[in-house]
Amino acid sequence: MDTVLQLLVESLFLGTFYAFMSLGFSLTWGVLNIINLAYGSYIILGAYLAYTLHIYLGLDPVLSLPLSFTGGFLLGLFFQRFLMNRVMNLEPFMVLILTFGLDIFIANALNLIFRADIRSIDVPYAERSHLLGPLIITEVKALVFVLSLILTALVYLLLHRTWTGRAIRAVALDREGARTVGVSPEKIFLITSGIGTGIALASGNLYGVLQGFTPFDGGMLTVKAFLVSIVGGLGRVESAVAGGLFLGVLEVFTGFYLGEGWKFFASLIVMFLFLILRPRGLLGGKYYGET
Amino acid sequence: MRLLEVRDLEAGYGDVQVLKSVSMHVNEGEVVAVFGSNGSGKSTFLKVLAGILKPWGGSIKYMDQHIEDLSPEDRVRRGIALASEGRRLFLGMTVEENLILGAWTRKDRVKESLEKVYSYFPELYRKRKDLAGDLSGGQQQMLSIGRALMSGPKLLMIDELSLGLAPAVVERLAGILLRIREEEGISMIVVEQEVSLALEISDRAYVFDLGEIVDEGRSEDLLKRDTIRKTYLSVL
Ligand SMILES: Nc1ncnc2c1ncn2[C@@H]1O[C@H](COP(=O)(O)OP(=O)(O)OP(=O)(O)O)[C@@H](O)[C@H]1O
Ligand SMILES: [Mg+2]
Repeated sequence: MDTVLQLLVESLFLGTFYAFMSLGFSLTWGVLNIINLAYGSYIILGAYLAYTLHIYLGLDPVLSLPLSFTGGFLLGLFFQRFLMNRVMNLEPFMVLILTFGLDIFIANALNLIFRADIRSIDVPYAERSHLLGPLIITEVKALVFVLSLILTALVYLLLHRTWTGRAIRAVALDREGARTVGVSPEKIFLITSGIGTGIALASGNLYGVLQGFTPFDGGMLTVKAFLVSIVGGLGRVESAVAGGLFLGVLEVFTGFYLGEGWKFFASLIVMFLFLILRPRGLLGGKYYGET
Repeated sequence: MRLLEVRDLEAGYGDVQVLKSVSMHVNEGEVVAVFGSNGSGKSTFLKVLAGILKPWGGSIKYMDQHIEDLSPEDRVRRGIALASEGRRLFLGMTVEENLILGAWTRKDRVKESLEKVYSYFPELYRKRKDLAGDLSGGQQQMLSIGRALMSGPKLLMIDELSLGLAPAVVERLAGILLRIREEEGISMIVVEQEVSLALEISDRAYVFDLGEIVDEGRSEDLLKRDTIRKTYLSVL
């Protein structure tokens, strides 16, 4: 019983992180209709950025989180403005190729700079844990959980309580309708790409504290973001939360009962099952606009 | 006073020309109807006026200024609002969120605009928390017009006022539009397939065919004209 409780708490912590981590992926998918295969590499990029700032400036990854977000935001703007805008309206296939190429580029650039060794960000609180009744709470995991929760709530508020957020949802629901009220979908694409990439890099900070990473871990993270988006159903912050929690439970429980090696494999199986049986996801929503 | 003056407007999609030298005008406070057969370019015309589609040639003067190069956003800001064909509502958002987005170009006046729209369309107030997608056809049309009104327009353009709506609903909508025109002094261009309705609610009308204006005049005169009666009112 205590074991199950412990596993559930771990699932909640990990799942909430996955939810936040995947928000940028599902947002750009829902609003721009772009499946960004480089998304996982953006996350890894964030992890290396946090790593570098920690090594050279002694900056805690939590403190460098806004820097990662800002860097990601600018990268997203740049990527959208100079690459994506050119191919977006041509063929969906071109978009996939382009982001796939970018994924390989980022991974190899990181490999050139940092080499393929596993890196980790050794924060002073890395090993600390506390007993809470029958539960063992690891400080790092709890910290990542709380931050993911706060950041996810912020994204929700952004989308629902601000003009920019409403415009983002409007563009997701009906581009031409958005245009008639005076919203420029092209500007919203830029902003959304910025926010999405910002989220990716920021979540990289958290990922880097949670576990070790190498330049080539991006592909696996893209698959996870993809899974979260499919399971939850594309479209809402709530969807990403549902999908994230699902993935959290899946990984923690298969990891414990079947062994670590099964975690990723189980995710893949579930992803295919969802694609075949329930392509609109658990909540059934489709776009970011849906309330 | 001229509010809108369109001269020799040409437009199309890709290489296909749709509008061929369209010239028309709207006076201040006037309701102008536009009708004509399917595919004659009525919606295309409104899209060009709204800035959603770039014209190939010709001029559009609004309040004595050329607006051909303005973005849709700038045109809405200056008072040109469109309730599009197919309504183009944000179906997954609430009624109120749809209306609020209509005030995109006047973010500081959301509250008073909402009050005004709700006073014309009380059922939108009752349904303000419902999803736009859950409204009836008539309510969706009200929302579409209400969303356009949120920008505080001087020129309101409505594409297909009555399409798919029950006669009683259409009658109410027409009544509300006339009230809005009277109380707010808003000019309108109404694209309407139902020619008797179009002529009933308008001061003047233009008849489109194959991308050209083939007839125009005061609505009461057009109502009496034989060609119009035979072609569009099925009166023999
Ligand atoms: N997005 C588009 N791309 C290409 N051609 C289009 C597009 N929209 C309309 N057309 C074509 O332009 C012509 C005029 O269409 P438009 O919608 O302006 O006519 P309409 O008078 O509004 O017709 P309806 O009464 O059916 O609404 C038609 O031949 C139509 O097929
Ligand atoms: Mg039309």
